[in-house]
Amino acid sequence: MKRNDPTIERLGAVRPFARCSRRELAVLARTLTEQRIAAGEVVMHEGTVGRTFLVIADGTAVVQVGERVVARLGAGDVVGEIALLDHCPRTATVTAETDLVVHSCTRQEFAGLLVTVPSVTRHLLHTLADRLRTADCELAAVATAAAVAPASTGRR
Amino acid sequence: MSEHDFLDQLDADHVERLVQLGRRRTHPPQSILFFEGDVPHDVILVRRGDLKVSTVVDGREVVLDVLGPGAIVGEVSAVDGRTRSATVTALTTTEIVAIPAATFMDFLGQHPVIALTLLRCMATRIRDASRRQVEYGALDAVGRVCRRLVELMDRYGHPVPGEATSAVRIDAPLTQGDIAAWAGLSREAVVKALHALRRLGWVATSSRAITVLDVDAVVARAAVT
Repeated sequence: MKRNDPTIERLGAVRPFARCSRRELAVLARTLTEQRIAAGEVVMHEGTVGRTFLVIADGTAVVQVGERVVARLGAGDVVGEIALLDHCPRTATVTAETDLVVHSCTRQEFAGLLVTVPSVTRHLLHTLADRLRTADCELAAVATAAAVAPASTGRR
Repeated sequence: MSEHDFLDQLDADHVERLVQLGRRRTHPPQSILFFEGDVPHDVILVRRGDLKVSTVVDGREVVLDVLGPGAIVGEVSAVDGRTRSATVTALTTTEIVAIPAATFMDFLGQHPVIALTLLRCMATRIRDASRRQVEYGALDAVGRVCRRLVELMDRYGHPVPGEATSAVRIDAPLTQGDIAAWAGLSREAVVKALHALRRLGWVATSSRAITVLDVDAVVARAAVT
């Protein structure tokens, strides 16, 4: 490993990899592929099988469920990990809002990273903990609104 | 619910080593293991019994999940160090193993395969929470009660012997109030929905159990299209 390998330097600047050791960054540099995605291009489609995990290094993307925009993603955000973890179809469509620079890998490479690069696993645990708190809050709010509204008991 | 069962996805050796890191405790029915807002100390592994995970919004209880043997509870706070996001209550006599959060996190660091299993369980829970949000929008009261009945059948259902059709009796430790808080309904709405289902001949209720008489109809009514 070269001391100032530019790929390693770039990876180390991306938030999920900021706490990685040099050894871990070297594994990431061998595993991840840097890709450019043009604004307007669909990064992943809702309902399809998850095959890719990616980390946004630069640019922004929009997350949509159906027509509804549910989130905006930017540098340091991870995309596609849920479908790779639970093997279910994608829950949302992600579209590049600006030109994107991403680091990506396949399902098999992702599983390997989680075993060989503990810093990435720790980062994902935090990311999913955060998402779970948000999901539970949203669920509780929706459930409360549904319970307060007079619910029909008839067939719709 | 079964996909949440963290311990069932680990091999026996890992389960044994995890259990040895903690202390066994038994909680009687209706006892509270921890409150929303508590400072986290332990991760809890459920060995026997059933728990409900709930929160209160505008004075109304919402049941976020019902968990049984094999489940892990309190892992979110162990990961991020923030206060408990929900209250956890024993529905039945519950045997648990409480592992200090820091010990659990160290163990995960030494066993990436277990960390991966935990990530998978968390991903499943996130997806379930999203699915239930959609369900609240897409299903009416009867549909939501049917959805809960399907989940209760999976966990607590027993085929009723002697019935011509495939009737399933649900012996669940949940009250109608719990089912209401789980379905995003008032208790009155659950009572009305069960009344409607009885009139259709799909369910029979007694003071102790709900029997689903027409499983196919209840499953179809619970589907989000």
